[in-house]
Amino acid sequence: MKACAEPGRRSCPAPRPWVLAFFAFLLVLAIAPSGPRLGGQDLLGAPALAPATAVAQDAPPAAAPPPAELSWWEQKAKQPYVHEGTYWLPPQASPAAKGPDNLFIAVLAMSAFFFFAITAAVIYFVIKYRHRPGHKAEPSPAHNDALEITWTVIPTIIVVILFVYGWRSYIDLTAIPETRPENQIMVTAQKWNWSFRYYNGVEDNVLHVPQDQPVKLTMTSTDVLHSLFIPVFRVKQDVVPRRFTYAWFWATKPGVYRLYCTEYCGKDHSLMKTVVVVHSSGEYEKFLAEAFAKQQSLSGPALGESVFKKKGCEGCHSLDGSTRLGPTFKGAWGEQVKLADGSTITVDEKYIRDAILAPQAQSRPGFPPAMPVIPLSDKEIEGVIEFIKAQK
Amino acid sequence: MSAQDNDKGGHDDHGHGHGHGSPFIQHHYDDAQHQFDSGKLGIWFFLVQEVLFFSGLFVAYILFRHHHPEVFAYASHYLDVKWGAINTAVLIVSSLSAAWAVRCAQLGQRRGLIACLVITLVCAFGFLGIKYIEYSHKFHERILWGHRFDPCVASGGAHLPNKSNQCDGVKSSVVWDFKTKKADRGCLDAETGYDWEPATPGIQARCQVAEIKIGVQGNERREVGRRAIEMCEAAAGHGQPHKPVPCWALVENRHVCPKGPAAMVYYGDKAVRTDVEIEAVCEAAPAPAAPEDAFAHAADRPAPGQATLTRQAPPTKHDLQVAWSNGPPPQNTNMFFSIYFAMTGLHGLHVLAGIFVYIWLLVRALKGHFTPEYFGPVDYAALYWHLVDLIWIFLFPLLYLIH
Amino acid sequence: MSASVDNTKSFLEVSPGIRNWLYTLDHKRIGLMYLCGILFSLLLGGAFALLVRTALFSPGLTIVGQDWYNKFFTLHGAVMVFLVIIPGIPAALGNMVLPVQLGAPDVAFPKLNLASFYLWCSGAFLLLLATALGDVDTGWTFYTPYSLESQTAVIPAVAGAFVLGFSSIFTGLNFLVTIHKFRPAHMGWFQMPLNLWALYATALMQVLATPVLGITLLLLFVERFMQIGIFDPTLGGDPVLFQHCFWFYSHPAVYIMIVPAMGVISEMITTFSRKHIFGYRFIAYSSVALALFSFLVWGHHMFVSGQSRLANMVFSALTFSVGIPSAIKVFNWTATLYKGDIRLDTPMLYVLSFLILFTIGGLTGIFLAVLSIDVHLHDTYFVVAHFHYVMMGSTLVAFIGALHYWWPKFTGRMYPEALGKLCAWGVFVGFNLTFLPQFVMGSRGMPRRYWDFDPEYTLYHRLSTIGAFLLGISLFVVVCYLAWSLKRGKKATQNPWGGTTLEWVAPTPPTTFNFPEPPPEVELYDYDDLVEVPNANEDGVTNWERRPATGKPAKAHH
Repeated sequence: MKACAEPGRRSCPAPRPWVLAFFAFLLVLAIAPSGPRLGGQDLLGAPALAPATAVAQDAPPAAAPPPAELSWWEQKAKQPYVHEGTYWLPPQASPAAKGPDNLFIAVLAMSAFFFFAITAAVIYFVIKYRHRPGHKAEPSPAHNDALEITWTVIPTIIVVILFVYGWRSYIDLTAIPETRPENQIMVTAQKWNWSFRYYNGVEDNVLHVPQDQPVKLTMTSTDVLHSLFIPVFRVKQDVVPRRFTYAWFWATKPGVYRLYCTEYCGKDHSLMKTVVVVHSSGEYEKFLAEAFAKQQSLSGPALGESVFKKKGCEGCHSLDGSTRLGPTFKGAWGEQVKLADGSTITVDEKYIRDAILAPQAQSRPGFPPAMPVIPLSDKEIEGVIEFIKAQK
Repeated sequence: MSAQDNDKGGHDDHGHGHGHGSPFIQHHYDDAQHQFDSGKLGIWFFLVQEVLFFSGLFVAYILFRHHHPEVFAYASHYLDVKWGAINTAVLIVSSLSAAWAVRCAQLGQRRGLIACLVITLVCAFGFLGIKYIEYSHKFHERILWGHRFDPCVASGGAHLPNKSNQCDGVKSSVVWDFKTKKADRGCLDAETGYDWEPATPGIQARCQVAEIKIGVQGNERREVGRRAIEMCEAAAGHGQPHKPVPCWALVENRHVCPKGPAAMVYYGDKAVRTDVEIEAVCEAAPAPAAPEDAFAHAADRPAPGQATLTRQAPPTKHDLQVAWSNGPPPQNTNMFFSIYFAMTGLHGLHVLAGIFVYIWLLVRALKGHFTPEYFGPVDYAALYWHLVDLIWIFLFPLLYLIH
Repeated sequence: MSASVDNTKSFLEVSPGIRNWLYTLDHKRIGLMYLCGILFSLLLGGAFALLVRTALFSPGLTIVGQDWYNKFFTLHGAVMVFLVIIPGIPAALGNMVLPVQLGAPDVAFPKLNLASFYLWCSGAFLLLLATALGDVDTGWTFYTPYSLESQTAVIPAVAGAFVLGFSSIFTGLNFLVTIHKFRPAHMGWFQMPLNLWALYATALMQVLATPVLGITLLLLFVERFMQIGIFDPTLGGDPVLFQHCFWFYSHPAVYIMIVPAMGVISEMITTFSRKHIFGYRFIAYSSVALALFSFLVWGHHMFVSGQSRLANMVFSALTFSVGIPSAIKVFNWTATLYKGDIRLDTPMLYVLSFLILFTIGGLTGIFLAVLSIDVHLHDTYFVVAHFHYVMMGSTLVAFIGALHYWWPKFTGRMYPEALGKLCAWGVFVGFNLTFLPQFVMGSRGMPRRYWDFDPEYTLYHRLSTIGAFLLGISLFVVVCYLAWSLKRGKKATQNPWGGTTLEWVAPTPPTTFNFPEPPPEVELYDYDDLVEVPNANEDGVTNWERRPATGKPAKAHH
């Protein structure tokens, strides 16, 4: 031990056994308690789409209102999302995913080769030429131009090849083909909610797309930067306020897949995720038609609820009494509230209407002036009023 | 700045035996030449750093000018070429005297050195004085950046006929028809509330507006209307004698737009109402004082209540030129002033820093610190001053001389 | 620095007292003061990192809610980048070592050097003030428009980063002039130790890139103060311009971090292998090449930001070019080990860790340079893992290794070797455990900066958290035993590792002007005539001495 502590001496023995034991313990800790297996989404007794907070707190499965007569497409979106792929990559659900995937595997193989070659050389040299009594450094050239030029040129060739393939598959990912109008979807990102508008005016928080057809997304943001990311299609594109950006994909397999926001956008960035539902052929048109009919038929509190969900109100206004960025709707109706200017006002039709139309005009102390203007029709406003009335 | 303050500011009296002649040769240098060379290299690197510091703003300038050429062409007329030219001359003179000061220091001409430093300082103060005149004029006219830009003020500098809030101007790209009380042309996206085609000009009102009524459809109209007007008046009353203000100027910024039969109004960046109707009550405009009124060249003043700009005859090139330079400011004109104030402001700060350096040099020159052997600080400061001068020589045409 | 300075005593002993330290112009004292600040910041940034990792132990709410989580990762990033890694090697170690390696009495502008230090302190103070005022939640990148509307203390944080930028610029300027003007007559450019080449390249980047960050942050600052509108889309400004300007600095900043690390690695690997560095010129040139290329690749941070595809193509191609000099260096270092006499002292363990971690960091960079793969991997944990391998696994590991390497020289004390080795292992294992799982999460699609995650990632996150704690504990122990050794460590000898550069000719610790006598001309990386003398001092520490027979006669340094 003493000799070990001196500089210039040869190395000490390998790490002590207790270090290894410590690691073993940590590993066990990682896997053991309530240990979810890798790859199962129902491990913690909650559906994959349930809010994560509920999962963590072991709360009784969502005290949320009973799912009132969900339409088939809404039920479909609640199905577990598909996420098994290979070990490294999520599943492929788009032909354009092949390019990057093959490149990924190629680069992985190349990296593994270089990594193991270099590591092996280092370990071999360290063992072979380690200092020990009587061992001395042997003379060898301090440079070798041929060798050095070789190992400059080889990586250069490799990266040129990678660049060319990367560029070509990038074009496949981003060159948008002709799409029929039904497959052109307007995407509006706002903190912290996605809204997808289809050509017939149907609006939903879930992205519904047809199978085996190109789909084009035209995206903009109402506030800060967001980024749309659908791992299974290998599609990612930033969403920029006051600009349009575009993305496209060609879904090959029906199913439900994850969609995330990947550009940090503030408090609930990590909750700004939804799903893509890929419908088999014919089903998509059925969805558009039925969703349109349903959207037209809604009125009163049901319309209000739909607006509440689709316009992203839930991001800031809770229904369970908890305070988020904005006041809760639970028991809000008829309440006497204080305004920033000191006056008191009753939450009634007029107040709610004003609060939607001109959010800053009647701001309330304790809540940041974060409410955006959300254009709603009179019918929709009435619906929201009815909906809030119903939250007792 | 710190480069100069720190590298050569040594007052270490020491007897270190390197054979240093001047007491200001620091101890870790071999000799005076070594110290001078090091300092010179240091100041050059510092200047490179300065150039890159400004480069960010130049990139922003290029980008915005590329995106909005019309804004830059229009808005440079707000600037007074006369003052800009005088300032250019002042800086060139000061650069000359700064260079001369180096010569005097090298030759050991103390009085010449002091005189040159004083001339440089006077010019620097002169530059800032003129900048003050320009800035205060813009503050007065509210020709500023962002929301502080008042689109009611047309360009034309000192000849501006109307001061704030009493002019024609683009309030939005929406054309408002007062007869039908509806916007008859516009491009505000009813869903997002965005003005997607800000380059399309439109005139909101071409009369002096006495009052604007904003009301939600139906029986709530009066009430809401009053509140909106109160808000306008309250805002206008700030720092000014309270008076009835033509309110549409205050329902400022940006969007009056159709959404079916209704419209949306933004007050500053805050939405006041959506789903509203707007009605402007026009008054007869005061008879324009002909020689002062730049708009008189652009188009005849319309009759009270007339809403849109109409042109009697196809404009000639000259007409277009005049209209272009003196018509209502295009959308995003505020961006020009963001760039203008950022660039000239940062440059002004550099001039200010130069003044402190030159005062420091003057004090040392009066004490007789500079000798033919030790004159580094004068040289470095002059290099810095030339750079400040050079940046202005770029700024002047880029901001003032756009046609 | 007055005439009465005693140039025969150690710089630690001359003129004691806190005032003399605070007003010192001695580059070594300034370096040591930087070091204290940086190690403190390291612990602070590490604490934030552990909070982040703890919050990610399980999906959903673990210890804190989203807003606190966002603040933690922002502060972790800001503190580590601006206060630790960027100044770590250049400002702290570079300050101490650079003039001594040149054989110079001090840096060119000692007062400017002190001013840089106080700028650093002011910047650090502002960042801490931002923390105290309720934190920042914009991410260390301060992307607009979120940073314009965030309700948190963005203004002091931005001001802090701005001031720190100027500290960095002045340090770089000082180093450039020192290397140009203070090289002794016999030291041509290609007789400079590789560390000086690396510091030169770093200083060049500091002077050329940091001002652009300066103006960007200044505009952001003014934007928040008076809504000037340059980056604000609601006023017609351009939020993507911010990203361009920011990355024009922050990409070179990555090289400001890694290039000096490569420099110290080059020094240490040759010393502990007792071999001349292999391919001196290639390593020297590749440092400069990295510095130049680093200015041309910022756009690869913005492949999905909406910039044109042509720009993406150009930036992707240029990005690949950065890989080549990095690869050359790794090959050359490995070749240096060949036929050496390798001693696995603590610094060498860090060097070997660096080699492996940097190889991983560099190779994973290739994934991200391939355009189509980057579209998938951008802003996922893959990127997080990649840049931690470069910024932490490489830069910080090199910094800690170099700290051990030069610790005896500048403090006159040895650190406890056994504990040092144990911690080096802890850092290596903990680091890999933390970040290897993140590659898998990232390529499977886990976005970064997420407070919450899908349950299928739980195992990876747990491994990562455990690794982070191991890493954190190891680094904490390192800081503790280094502090302990200041008083209790064994006395160091003049040349405990057998290094050939000039600092090992100076007394331990060096005198105020580093060398009581003008330093001799040394043969760089020539280990033949150095002889190991065990138990050279009363504490039994080894020393290496030049064999008198072949020792070269001392020459005057100018």
